[in-house]
Amino acid sequence: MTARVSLPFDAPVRRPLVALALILTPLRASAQESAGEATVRGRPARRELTTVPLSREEVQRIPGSFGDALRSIQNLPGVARAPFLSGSLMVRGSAPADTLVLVDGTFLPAAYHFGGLGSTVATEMLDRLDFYPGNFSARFGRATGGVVEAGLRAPLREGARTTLHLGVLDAGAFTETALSRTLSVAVSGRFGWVGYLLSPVLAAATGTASFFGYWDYQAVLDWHPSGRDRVRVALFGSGDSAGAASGERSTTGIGMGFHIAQLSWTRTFTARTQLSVAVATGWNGLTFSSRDGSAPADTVGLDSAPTHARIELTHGFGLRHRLYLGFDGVFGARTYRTDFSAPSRDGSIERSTTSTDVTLALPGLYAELDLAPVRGLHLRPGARLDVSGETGTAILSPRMSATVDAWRDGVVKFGVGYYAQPSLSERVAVAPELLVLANEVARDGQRPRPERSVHVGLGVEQRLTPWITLSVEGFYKSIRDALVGFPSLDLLIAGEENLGLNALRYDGLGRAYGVEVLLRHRQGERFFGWIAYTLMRAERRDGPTSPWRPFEFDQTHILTAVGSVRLGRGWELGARFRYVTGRPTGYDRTLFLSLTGTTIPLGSEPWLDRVPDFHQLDLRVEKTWVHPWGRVSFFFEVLNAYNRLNAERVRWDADHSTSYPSGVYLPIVPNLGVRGEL
Amino acid sequence: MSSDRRLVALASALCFTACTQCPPDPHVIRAMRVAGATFDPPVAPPGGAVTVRLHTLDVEDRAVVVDWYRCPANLRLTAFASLDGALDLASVVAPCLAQGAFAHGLSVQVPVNAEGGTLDTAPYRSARRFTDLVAFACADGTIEAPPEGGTVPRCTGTRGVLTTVSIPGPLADGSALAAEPATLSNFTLDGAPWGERDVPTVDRCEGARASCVAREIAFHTPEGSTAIELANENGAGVLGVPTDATVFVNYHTTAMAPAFEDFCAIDRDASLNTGGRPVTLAWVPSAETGEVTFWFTGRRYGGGLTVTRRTLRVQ
Repeated sequence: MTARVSLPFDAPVRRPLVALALILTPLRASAQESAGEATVRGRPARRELTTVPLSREEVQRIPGSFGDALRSIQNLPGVARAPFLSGSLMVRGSAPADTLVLVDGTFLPAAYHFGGLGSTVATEMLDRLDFYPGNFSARFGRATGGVVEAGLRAPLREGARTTLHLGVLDAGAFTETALSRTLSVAVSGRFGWVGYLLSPVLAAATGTASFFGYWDYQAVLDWHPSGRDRVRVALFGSGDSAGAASGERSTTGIGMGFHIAQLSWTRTFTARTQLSVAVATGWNGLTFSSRDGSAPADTVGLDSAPTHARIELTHGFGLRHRLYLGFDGVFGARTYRTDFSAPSRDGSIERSTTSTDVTLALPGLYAELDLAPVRGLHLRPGARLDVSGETGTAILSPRMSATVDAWRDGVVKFGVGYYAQPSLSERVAVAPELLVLANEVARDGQRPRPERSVHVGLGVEQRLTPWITLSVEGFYKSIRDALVGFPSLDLLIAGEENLGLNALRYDGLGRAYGVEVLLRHRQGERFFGWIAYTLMRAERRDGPTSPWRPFEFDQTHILTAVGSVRLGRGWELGARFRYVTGRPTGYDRTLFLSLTGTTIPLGSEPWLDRVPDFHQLDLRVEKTWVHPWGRVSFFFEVLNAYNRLNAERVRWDADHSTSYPSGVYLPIVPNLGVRGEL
Repeated sequence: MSSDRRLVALASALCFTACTQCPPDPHVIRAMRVAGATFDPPVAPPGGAVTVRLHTLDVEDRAVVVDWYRCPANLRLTAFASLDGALDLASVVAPCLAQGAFAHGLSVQVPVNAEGGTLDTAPYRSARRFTDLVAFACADGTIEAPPEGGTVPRCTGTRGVLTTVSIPGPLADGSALAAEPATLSNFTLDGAPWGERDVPTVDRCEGARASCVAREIAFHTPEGSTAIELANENGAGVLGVPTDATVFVNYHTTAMAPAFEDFCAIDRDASLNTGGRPVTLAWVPSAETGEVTFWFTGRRYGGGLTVTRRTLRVQ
């Protein structure tokens, strides 16, 4: 296995001014090396059955992803297409909230601004982005979907670099510098200003004054007190706010955000033994407010103050074996609060104030072995014990994966495992749906319980050439004790009307199965790209006696083709094409009254119809000028280049013979920006 | 407003593009639709038989096959309605379907009991006896048994419609107020008489429909149709409680639906309790040329249907 360090083309080598892309590939090293590259040979342990690593440079060049790291994952196999611009990750038939997003092992409370405008962590601050769609190892818990693990970059240990970018959506700056031989720092900040640009347009079109804006920041301080120690302090946070005012007396607003401080220490005792300790604490919250006239505002809010602690001891024994022991726990509190006016029995208006506290106590222990009894064979048994403070349950999750170097450049892999995630009220991430659900769940009467899942995966990875790999993997997932009748905000955005608040149950069942194919050309000097195809079926059962129905985001065929080529002289062209078969949607019912001859819409039966197939082409062009003092890049991209009307919902006429697009849909959208590096 | 609705409102306000589309005009017929049924004689004679004819609206005049089902007494049908496919309301008529079809065809003869029907205790009903049936109509195909575990038959053609049909019988007190058909007459287009054999010509609408000139189609209903208006304790009006003399009118057409950019400029609903007054329908011609078919329906509460077909040419 090779860690390849590559310098981008046209880059002056005098000092490391330019961005570095660190890529880890799971297959054998290539014998090819090109100028500007240094190849370090070694064999890092492969802990995850299925890993799709993305480099920062790839992420920034994928058309249609706004240069956004987390959004780029939506182009990988196993991930269903999210409606409109939502950044939700529906991985192998799991709900968006079931996939864990971590930054250096710490929960990221809100992965996107406003659910999809952009990641809350700037791509420039990331060093790596790994996506595990399933069968992940025991070091990750409290999730039944997938895992996205982002790693903050290590600041330069020599020299300095600054990047500025200005785009239609936002503007930001990044800088990193070495403060001393052992101390370095990186800082990034971003402000989303697109809301201020659109406000007058929306006001003219709707007669409603509105605004929305967002910001985020990240800071990393890296300290190497010795050759065996590494200490890191990281701060990152985000804020989103939006509001609307109709007339002078009625306003509605929503705000969400988080702040996290993370302290980590890694100590390498020997070549075989390493200890890492990380503690992160902070706040995340969500508030919704509405005011009519001069009355006090009605507010609903969620606040969480979690502390996440992770300790892992790694020890190698024998020739090729390794042991991992770890603790991974979340502690803290969550408060759900309301303050609103409500009519009382005698007709007067009273203020009602409630506050509900939930204590978060989610300790977890795990142990994992990486055994290599013979060359080319790796067995990775592991187990995890997760405890839920609220429900008083302790769940043991055994997991097992195996990889075999079956033939030249080919790996066969297999995994099976048990997974669990906390009940809704114990989820650390602030999900907007919780605003709607918190009281509903309390009235439901059902005792909250963890959702459980079994993952099975079997696949083959084959390197066809030094640059091209092919991966084919079949998977099966079963889910029990799922929360069903869940009014996902994604479905609201898509125009679905069935909030299903009356149908909330904790005993839902689910299953998903399919095949994923990934043909990938890894990033080279001129080209990178991939074709990802998923054939999948995802279903839910709303209770033990209910029939199976399609999952709200079941999409049978998901095809994504991405590519970017450098033409020379600083020019680069990129394209992305997606074809996705329709997700389930409601079947409109109408009642024709023979008495009056009128037609009454009866709402819709959920999930009995399908949205028309989605397809979209995104194009991107970038021109880079390199100067002695740095480089400047200008990019222009077009989303939905041929203006396909991809409706997220359809409505039918009274005779159910003709359908019409409904819900939000993306028109042809230009995006442009400029970036400078010093 | 509950917090969840507020959240919906805010989510809608944050949409970048036009997220509202006009609902399709329910007056526009695109597939076979059942208008209702007529009865001969209009009131079922006790111990006798009534010829029931199902009326369908379809500009293509597709062949329709119909299966008829009897319903148990006091079924408490919530509405005289036709509905597509399986729906919760279909469970109401499930007892009718379970007995199997007793007759086939657009027009069938139905014997009634010695009283001329059964009194239904639902409050919206007049004090009249009814014989309740269910009809399943299938256009351009054949009728097959319901799928396994299902209730509603399947239509192999273009559209299957389930309809409740109630044959009016004598009033509960035995009086013989007849449920006469609601005859519509005196059709005019912009004040000019318009007979069944006439095909008036109108200019098509160019540009946004909201800016186009509406044409006035008027017709008259039988005099004496009335409804009792009630008010709640706060003095606000509520839906009128119809009597047997109440006549509802409506229209259906094959003109295209409003264009989406017109911000839902849907033709005014002409479904009215006429109270014996003339009915004026403001109709905006389509932007395309061709012939437009109208069906005007008059319905008398308690039974009685008239369907009148007219054609306009849009140039």
